Amino acid sequence: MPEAVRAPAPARAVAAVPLVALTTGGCLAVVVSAFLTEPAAPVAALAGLTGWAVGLLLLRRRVEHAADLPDDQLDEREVGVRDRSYLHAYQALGGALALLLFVTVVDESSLGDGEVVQSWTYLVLALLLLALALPSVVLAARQRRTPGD
Amino acid sequence: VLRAERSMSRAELAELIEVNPQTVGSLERGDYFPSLDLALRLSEVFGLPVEALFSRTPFAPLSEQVYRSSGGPHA
Repeated sequence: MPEAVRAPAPARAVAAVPLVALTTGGCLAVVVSAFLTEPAAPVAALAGLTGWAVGLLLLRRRVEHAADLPDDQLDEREVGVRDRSYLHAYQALGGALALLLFVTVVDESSLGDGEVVQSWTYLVLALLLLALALPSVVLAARQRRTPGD
Repeated sequence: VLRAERSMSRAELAELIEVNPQTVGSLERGDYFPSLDLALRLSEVFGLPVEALFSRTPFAPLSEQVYRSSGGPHA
């Protein structure tokens, strides 16, 4: 049996919920900063980026067993959980992209008058951060420890 | 129950059927339905037919089975 299957990553002991909250909260702060004006916008964006980076770093350590090993090093349940997590992550990302397009249309229309979004850079940055984090976020949320393991 | 009967830890059973111990936990809780291959590996380890290990309907509780085999409660 592969060593990786026998010995789950010790980093998994770190609880997923605060890390998921930190990572997604970081993305959300960057989204919010796109609607703020100077000097609040860069401060919010920087705080969000920091939260996202720390959260993702720890999340990656937590999910590296399932996320990085090839299929033949995982059992069938782990492969299934990973595949479903990635599918749902990319579906959610599609939704986020659709939302961004919706905001673009609203902002350009007479409703927004081009003044709703203060910085498109932050909004696109938030989407990129979300794209990088979402697969790990969903995978971490799906993993659960079995009592007595 | 079968694993406990044989005084086997989750890790030991997991090693025998080549899965992560968490997968054994998921199987025991009924959170995960195994492939035919994994079900056959389990039946091989326990020396029982697959239908003795898995069923499409929930197994009756052990207490009910004991009552039935002893002719019901003797109150």
